[in-house]
Order: sequence, then structure tokens, then C-alpha cells
Amino acid sequence: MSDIQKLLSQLHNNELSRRQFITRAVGLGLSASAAVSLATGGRAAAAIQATPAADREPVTVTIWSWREDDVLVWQAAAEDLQETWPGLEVEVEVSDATEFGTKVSTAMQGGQGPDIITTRAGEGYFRPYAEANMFVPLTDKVPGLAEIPEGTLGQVSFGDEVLAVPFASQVWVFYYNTQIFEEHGLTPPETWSDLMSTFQTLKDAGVTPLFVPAREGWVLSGYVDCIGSTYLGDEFAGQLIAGEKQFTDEKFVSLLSRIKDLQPFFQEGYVGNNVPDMDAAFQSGQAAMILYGGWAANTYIEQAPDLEFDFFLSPPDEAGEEPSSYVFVDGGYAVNAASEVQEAALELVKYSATVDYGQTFSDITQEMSSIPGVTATEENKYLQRQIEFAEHAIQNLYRIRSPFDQGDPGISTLLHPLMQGLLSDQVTPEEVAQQLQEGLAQWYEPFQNGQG
Amino acid sequence: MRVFRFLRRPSVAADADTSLPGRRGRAVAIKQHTYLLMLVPGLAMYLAFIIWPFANTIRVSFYNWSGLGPLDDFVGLGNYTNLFNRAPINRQFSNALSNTAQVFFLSTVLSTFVGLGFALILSRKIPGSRFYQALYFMPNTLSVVVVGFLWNLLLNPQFGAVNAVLRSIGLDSLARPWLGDPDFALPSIVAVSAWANMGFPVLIFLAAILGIPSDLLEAARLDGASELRVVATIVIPLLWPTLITLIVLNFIASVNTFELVFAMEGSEGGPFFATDVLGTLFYRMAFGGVGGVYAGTGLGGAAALATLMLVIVLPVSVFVIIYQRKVSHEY
Repeated sequence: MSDIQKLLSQLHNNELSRRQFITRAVGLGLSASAAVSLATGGRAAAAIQATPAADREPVTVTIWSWREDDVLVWQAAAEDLQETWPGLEVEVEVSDATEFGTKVSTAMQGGQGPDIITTRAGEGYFRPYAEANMFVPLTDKVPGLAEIPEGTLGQVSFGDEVLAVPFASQVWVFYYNTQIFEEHGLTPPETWSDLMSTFQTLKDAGVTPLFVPAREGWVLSGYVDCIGSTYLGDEFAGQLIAGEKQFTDEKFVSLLSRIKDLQPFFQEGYVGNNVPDMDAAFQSGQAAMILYGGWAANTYIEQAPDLEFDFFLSPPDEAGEEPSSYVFVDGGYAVNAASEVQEAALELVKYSATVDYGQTFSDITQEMSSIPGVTATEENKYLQRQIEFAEHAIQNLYRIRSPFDQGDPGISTLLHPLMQGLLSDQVTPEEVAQQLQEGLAQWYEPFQNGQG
Repeated sequence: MRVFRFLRRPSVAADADTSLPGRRGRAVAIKQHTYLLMLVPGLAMYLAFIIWPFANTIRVSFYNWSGLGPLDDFVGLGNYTNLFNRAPINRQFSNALSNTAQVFFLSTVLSTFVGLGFALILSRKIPGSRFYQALYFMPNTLSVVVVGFLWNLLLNPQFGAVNAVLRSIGLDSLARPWLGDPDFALPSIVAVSAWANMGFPVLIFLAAILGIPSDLLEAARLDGASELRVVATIVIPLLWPTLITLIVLNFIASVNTFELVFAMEGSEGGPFFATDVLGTLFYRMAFGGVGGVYAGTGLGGAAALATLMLVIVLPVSVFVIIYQRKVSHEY
């Protein structure tokens, strides 16, 4: 039996996830697209026809990304498009996530950018590129956009023009160690008071209830998203966006107080911990819970195969009420207006808006594709769970990717350090709310009409 | 000690009669100024890579510019006044300025003065002094990222070696989340920086101490001066120019502090801006910081901040260079 056959056998026996299968098959010399095709049972290439295939010259499209998995995804996409564009190849360059934005903006300014850019999301991100006409407007060029919800497209647009095809959506969740919960007779909480009782039970038993990476302001801001989506709800968030409510309103201040109330359940020295510390603590069973993005689930599966964990959303105050989730677009694919192979780049980006591409994306990355109709593989309950949570997403985003993130200073810029200050007792919930309101009122028009 | 003067023009040129008429006079004049041509390559490089970017930075500081697209939104002194008047950037600017000043004072004590102490000890002919010189200089060879990563682990509140040592010797009360505690994060980073860069001041002080004529010291000892007195009244005063040079270099390095803070606390200078310095503030303004979120203050504001940083550094440097010339001495 060849190595590939062994891998296939392991895949069919559910001993390997599809992602593990693809990674190992590529390691054995199989092309990425062939590996994906084997893993997913093979799918027909998308039939996107612009100019006859025979008239198309072989080209190489350069793509920049901060995501390692994108190499496999794009190679598979190029393979799928061979019928419509013979000789189409991709060259994917992956850079460090922290420096990626700087690298792209510097290269674009110097006219040295790639043909396809993996973008972040939010109007604020797209503004400088749109004002400089550096991205190709996609609204009329990508048929697949019609199937994507408006709220999602709004996060990859500037004004009325869609500038990128969204590739993934993310959701903030409470992760919990199921073994620890079972050992202490706990179940996922149905109400906020259940959650507090769960924390207390764990603390009394000498277990760290919640591991908090307080050195990372962006994670602490995620607490506002995760807990706030259920606590504030769509109506209040909508009123905030309309300027009818303010961040200094009691409801938002009490959300911050609610987060601060969790402090006694954090690990000792939490202000000195970062995300790698949190990952290590959760994977090794030193902490019962963390609050983080769904994207980490695959890392935990790979790095700690024995870890048994699951998710829940921030619970509501009353039993029987539905919890809500905060779902946001991770990023998109944009076409460089200065690309010399723009037609080929557009062909790839068009394909990225199809269900076939979305399914390949989800199969490889195990992340939620932004394309409707993509399903989770049976063995990945974590992705299934995230897709379920996404059905309960609030529609009025009030923090990341929200209208408050589109100006200067944006809500994320303001909130990251303020949350650190809140949880290190430097500022009170009222002061956080006040500084948020003051900062946003400088540019957010609904807060300037005599209400801010 | 012999003092080498900078190369003079050849005496033949200096003695030439420039009033000679005709071709001979021009030839002499050309020969006399040939050295100016030699300066052109260096000057061109200096203009292209120092002066032009600097002038361009000042120009950009008068525009509202994200770094992309045309530079056409002239705002005059708007970017400068924003740094002082517009919340929250004004609070962040004054905080970063204060933190930068703290970095300077703390690093002067921890690096320069402690370095002087080590150099004085190592200048004595004690066993193993050469080994210690190499040992102190060794961290200088590590990259800032490696130093940051290493000390991030050592200072970890749960499993870091620093807290483990403190707990093992009964000093539990001193163990703390060093890099997450707003009161200790900045001093911790300065201490790490001093550890990493200690070799440089030690090396410079040691060279200066060894350059002091031994007959001066011997004479003092023959007159009955104690070692402490020799150091206090002869060595330290003679090291004064070196000390000033190192303090100025430390001042310039402090104003430009960025790498280690970025490696250990990220571009936000956390926790809650406790380690935010002018360099990290500049980075956030210019490039938008964490997550690539576009910062509207943009490159124009960052250019204004960079210009202000230069305005802070330049006069101090010029003053000290002039002062140093006055107090320098020849043996």
C-alpha cells in the first residue's frame, strides 16, 4: 500500500482530519489541488467563462497573505481553473501577520504590490486604497457577490463599491475544557448567574476558571463583543449606531462592569500574560475556560489532540432567552488595479466567490467561509458549532468592523488600551465609557448632532 | 598622548600663488580644490539618504496623508497642533514623552553609571577581568527580538525564572507580573535593555580609563592618596568627556527607543500605554498598529512627531558637542 493510500485509508477511518490529510499528502509530494480533491471526494471545476480558454496565455498570479493555509487553498483554486484558464499558476507569498498591513501599503505605494491582496476588513481599512484607486471595484465584475449577505459585503466595501471578496467569518466564544467540567459536575451555563456559579465552583475547587491574556488589548476588546452581543442585543446596538444611545449610557457601562466583575476568577498575575500563555494554559488543562475567537480551535486540535473542549456563547440573563453571537469578516481578496495580469487575477477572485472555493477553503482551513452554502465536514464539530452560532449573530455590529471602527480614532484603537486599563484597575467602567464616547464623538456624525 | 590633526591640504597648494595669471593660475586653483571633488560621492549619499528623507519628512508633516495616494491635503501646522490639542492623541503624546524621559533617566542610571562601575572594577588587574569583559559584551551580540523573547519567558508571572528565583528564596512578595504591571513594565524593559547593552558603556569606559597616563595615578598614590580618592579626584574627572558622550548617546537612543518595547509589549506600548514611548506612538500613527486597522492620523501626523523628535534631539546633541570640546583634555 502506498503512503498516499495509507493516508486515504486513515482519512476514511476518521483517523485524520481533512486538513491533516491534505498537509501530509502535500508533504508526500502530491499537488495541493490533488490532495484537496482526494480529501473532498473530487469536485468539478467552476465554469467561469470570460474569454475562450484557448485564447488565454499561461500566466502566474502573485498573491500576498498572512495566512499559511492560503498557499494550499490558492493552489487548489488554480488547479480547479485549469479548464477555463490553461497554464494559470499562483505564487503565494506569506508574511508575518503583524507586519503584513505595513508591507502591503508600502508596496502598493511604490507600485510593487501583488496581483491579489489578502485584505483586512472594515471601511476604515479600505479608505486609503479606495481613495487612491488602488483596488479594482468588484461589484459588477464578480457574479458570486450577489449570493453574499449585504452585512458581510459591507465589511469589504468602501461606499457603494465592493472592493474584496470576503473569505472567512469569525466568532468570539467561551471555550471550555469538557473534562474539567465533567470532573466538577458542571454543564455549559444557561444564564449569566449560572456562569458566575460555574466560575465560583471552579475557583473553590482550586481550578483557574478563566485564563485572561490581559497584555493583549485586542483580546480584551473581544470580551466586549462576545459578552456584549448577548447583553446589549441588536436593539441597543442599533440605537448606538444611530446615535440614539451613547457609550456612556448605563447599559454599556454595566457591560463593562460585568466584565470587570469576572476579575476574581482570572488567573493570578493575569495582567502579565499574553495569548501564547493562554494557549498553553488551556491546552494543558491548567485553565477551565478562555474567551477567544473560533479560529483557534484548529490549532488546539492539532497541538493538543487529547484536549477535549467545546464552546458556548455568552449566556443571557434569563433562562430561555437566546444568546447572540458577534460574527465579523476576517478579510477579503482584492485585485490590484495596477496588476499586469488583471484578467487572470479577476478570474481567481471571481472563483473565490463560489461555493466550490468556499468549501475548499473551509475543508483546508477548518474556518467558517463567508460564502453561503458552505458546510462543515462531519468530523469537525467545532466548525459546525460556529456555523450554528453564526445563525444567532447580531446584525448591528458595534465594535470590530462596525461604523465606529471607520474613523479616527476608531473604537478598536480606543478600546484596546482602555480594556487593559479597566482590568488593571487604572480606569473605572465609567471612565472607559466616557473616553470612548469622547473619542468617537470627534468624528462620528450621529454623536455630533447635539447628542454626543 | 599624541594628538593627530585632521589632514591638511598639501603645503604646496597652500603656498601656491593664486594670483598667477592665465592657464597656470587656473591649473593651480583646480589643483588646490581637487579635494572638494573627493567629497562629492559621500555628499551625494548623505544628501540622498539623510538630508532628502529628512526634508521630505518635514514636508509631509504639513499634509494630511495616509501614506497612499497623492500628497495634496495641506493642513499647515494641523498635525503639530493635533499632538497637543486633539484627544486621545494628545494624551498619548504627553504620556509617550514622559515615558521616554523615564527611559532616559533609568537607562542613564542602569546602563551608564552601572557600566562605569563595572569598568572601574574591570580596569583593576583582577583575575578573569578579560573573561568578564567578554561576558558583559556578549548580550550585545544578540538581536533585540531574541532578547525580547528570552526576557518575555524569564519574566512570565507563572513559570518565569525571575519569579521562581524570588519565590525560592522566600521573597514571594516581590514576585509579580513584571511586564503586565503598569508600575513595573517600563522599568523592567529598561533593565532588560541595560542588560543587553551594558557591554558598550563598559567597553568605552574601560578604553578611557586605560588611556589615563599611569604616571598620573602613580604620582597620586605616592602622595598617599587612597584608591577611592584616586578614582574620585583623578579618574572620574578625566572620564568626564567620555561620560558626557555616553549620556548623549543614551539620550539619543532613549528618544529613539522602539525595538525592545515593540518586541516585548507590542506597538500599543501596553499595559494601558505604560510602556508607550515616542517610537511606538510614531509606529502606530504611521502604520496603524495592531491588526492593520487604518489610523486616520496617518503618515502626516507621524511625520510631525518624527520632526518633533528631531527637534528634541538636535539641540541637546549640538549643545553637548560644544560643551564637550570645552572640557576635553589632552595628556
